[in-house]
Amino acid sequence: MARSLRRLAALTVCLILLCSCGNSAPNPADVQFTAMDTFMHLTAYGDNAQAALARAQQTVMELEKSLSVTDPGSEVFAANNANGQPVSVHSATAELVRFSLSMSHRTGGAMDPTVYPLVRAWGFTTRQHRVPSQAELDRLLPLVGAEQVVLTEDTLTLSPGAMLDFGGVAKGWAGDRLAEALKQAGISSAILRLGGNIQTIGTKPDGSDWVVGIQDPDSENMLTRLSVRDCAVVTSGGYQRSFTENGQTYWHILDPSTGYPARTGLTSVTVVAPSGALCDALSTALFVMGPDKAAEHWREHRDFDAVLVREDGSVIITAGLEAGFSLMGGYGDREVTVLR
Amino acid sequence: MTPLQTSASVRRLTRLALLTAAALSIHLLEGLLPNPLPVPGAKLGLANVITLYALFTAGPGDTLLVLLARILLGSLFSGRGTTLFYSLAGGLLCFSVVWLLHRVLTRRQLWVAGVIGGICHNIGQIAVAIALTRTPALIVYLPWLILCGMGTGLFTGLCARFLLEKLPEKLKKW
Amino acid sequence: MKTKHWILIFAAVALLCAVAIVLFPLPQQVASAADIYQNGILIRTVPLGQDARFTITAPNGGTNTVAVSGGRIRVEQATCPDGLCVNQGWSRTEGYPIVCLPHGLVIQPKGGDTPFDAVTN
Repeated sequence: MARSLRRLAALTVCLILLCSCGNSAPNPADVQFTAMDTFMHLTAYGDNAQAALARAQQTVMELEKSLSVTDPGSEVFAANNANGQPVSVHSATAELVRFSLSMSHRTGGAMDPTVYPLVRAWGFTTRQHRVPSQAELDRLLPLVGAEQVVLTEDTLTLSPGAMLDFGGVAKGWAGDRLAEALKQAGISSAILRLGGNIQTIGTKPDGSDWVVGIQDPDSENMLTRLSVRDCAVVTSGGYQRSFTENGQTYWHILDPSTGYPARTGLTSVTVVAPSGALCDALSTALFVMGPDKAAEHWREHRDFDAVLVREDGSVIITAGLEAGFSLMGGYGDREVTVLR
Repeated sequence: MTPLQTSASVRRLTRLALLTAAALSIHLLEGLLPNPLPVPGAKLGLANVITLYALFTAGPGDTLLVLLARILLGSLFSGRGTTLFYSLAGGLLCFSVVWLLHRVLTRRQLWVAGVIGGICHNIGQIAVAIALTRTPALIVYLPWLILCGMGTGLFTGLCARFLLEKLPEKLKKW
Repeated sequence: MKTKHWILIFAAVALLCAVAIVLFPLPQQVASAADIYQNGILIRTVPLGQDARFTITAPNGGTNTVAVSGGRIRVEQATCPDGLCVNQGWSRTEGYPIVCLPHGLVIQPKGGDTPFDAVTN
């Protein structure tokens, strides 16, 4: 009888000791707010995560202010309204301008930071949509192009009438700055949702990848999901902002060389890369380039991965995403092409 | 009370406490395994091995004590409020049905009790899940859960049988 | 009861379950509920299991009519200037919130068998 009791006790002690092996999921720190005209939801794990996120929110608000096209206090506003005069800028702004110009150069102008006059002509900035006349576009097109921007170490000069706008890279840029700041604060596991721009730091606390869904451009369902770590995921698509007039649909992603919405047979482009700014810029650029030029661009640079969805529903992915890639249930009939 | 009787009740208490601790550890450990239902708080029901063992050695009263103590403490330690309801539903349903049947089962058929207990545990879980989330659509998981319950139930039944062999003395003797 | 009778019973049950599984496949994403926030404060949690329709009035007077149907939720109609929230359509996935910025309204579905940590769109 004592023997039995001792055995039971031994068993119980073993089980209790095993319990100490179990790790309970740590509680995440979470913050939700509106900035850059979009809803942001940041989640981070670790000690001081809540404080780090509060500071991150501050950083985004400050960044938004300094890059604003409409806020009279921002350097961008000053440059846009200087009528050809040089404007002095902080190194942070200069860095972003330099990045945008380099992206414009790299993509052959498909992504262009000076398209603001065109975007404004279509009414996308005020949400009062209209179709501009060809004459109007002809008048505005000469104002567009990287050559309109001259940047020295600390001064920015725009040709009269040209305007800079970072709407196409601001969220990705913010994502990178936030990731830097959070990592410096000691955070090694976080996911930042800046609208549809996703930036991840490390992995989830249990070591597994973050699961990011890519939405089907034509419905509320998810087309596929990516398992990612330490990188950004950004999607650009005509469906994000568009209007219909006289049976024709016009969207906010314009071809900088024609002034019209880019129609290259794509409905959405998702780019995955370590840098959010790169993803943001490339997703727009690849959408404008179309599937063939986009494939060429990927083969030339190979510093990112992408998922392209065509108008007919078929999907193109770059080789880096091939392993483990699968479409969600209900999309089994879609054709998937892998670029190599 | 005579010294002999006192030490008997102390031994009984000790044994019940040990059973509770064992059940509690299993309950907390199984949280590491994947969740059968897509709702927070649902459990596989492996701790029922103790319930089964206790029913065959200690009688319904003591078994119920161990069960409730384990459920209460388990939900306190888990930190999730919903675990309490899932464990209560699963544990009590398993307990009641197996108790009703234990007279018709032999010791060698303990695995049968396990399977039945596993099925009942999962039916209890899904019932609570539907009630708590107010999503009747979850009923579509029932056949999966019954199959899964049969599997885990078989496992717990065999473990209980093993326990019974190694620790055969009835608590009541104490 | 003899052991083999039990085995027969369990085999029959297992078979029934297998048939049921084939007849009733699991849905793709079933979010169980949605949290509704107004200016960052949780004002309501709506179960997605039953159809519903209700209107939320923002502190600035704007209204959003929210509809729940078939396990999904959306903003059916809104008085905001851009109507982007209505444009977003249905959501049934954790990680894909419906947002009306002018009215400070955020609808977050939660729970589900294939939860996403985030949705890019």
